[in-house]
Amino acid sequence: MAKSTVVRDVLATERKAFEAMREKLEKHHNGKFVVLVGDELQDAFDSFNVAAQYARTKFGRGPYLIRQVGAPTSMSLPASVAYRAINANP
Amino acid sequence: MPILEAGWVDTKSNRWSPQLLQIHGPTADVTVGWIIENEEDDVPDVEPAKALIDTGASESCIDENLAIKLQLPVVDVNSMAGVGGAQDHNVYAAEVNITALGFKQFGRFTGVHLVAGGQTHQVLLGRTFLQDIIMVYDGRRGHVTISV
Repeated sequence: MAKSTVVRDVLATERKAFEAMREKLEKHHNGKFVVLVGDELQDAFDSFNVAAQYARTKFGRGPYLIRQVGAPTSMSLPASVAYRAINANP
Repeated sequence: MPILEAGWVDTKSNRWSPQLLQIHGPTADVTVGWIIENEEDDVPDVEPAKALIDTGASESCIDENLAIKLQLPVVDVNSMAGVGGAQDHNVYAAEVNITALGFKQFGRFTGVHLVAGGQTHQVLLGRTFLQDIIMVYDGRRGHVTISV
């Protein structure tokens, strides 16, 4: 089984670039899904569905960052993952 | 209009089971993957998976080991708060196909250890996914239908 690795370092350039251009992105592309490769903004899209199709066609398996401008980067673990009834099997 | 049955059948009575539905939740058989045309390697294109339709989750999740097996692209890193505090998680892109409905969609999936945690499901479809479907939940009969 493959070992799980958080690859935040692999996308470090893209995430840093996003932060550097955040103000500009929020002004011009708020709510859009942007694709970044390295420190370059490739394009902005109305939906993740379209952004992902674009990224796959152009860059295969990446690396690339796809992020919605203005969306929170932290979230709560869904309750279905956090609290599973371990003795619930009938 | 194609309709998917997303409840659980009691194999003894061969009827929809309200109890099993309550335990496991509405579940769809899907395939997930990231198909690259003309790619020559040993990576499987898609894998079948059981997906929990989770109205209580804002985002979707995927089993981390399934994501690694399919070599799904990591498209972001999310901080996710749980009972043990906040942790960074990979966010993968994947194409989900509900074959029974002829419905395909790319989605963002936070990688979590679903199977290792004892979950029945390898995929959890949150409300970002639900915005494109209609689901009718009949808890009394243990019957759920999904359509697009």
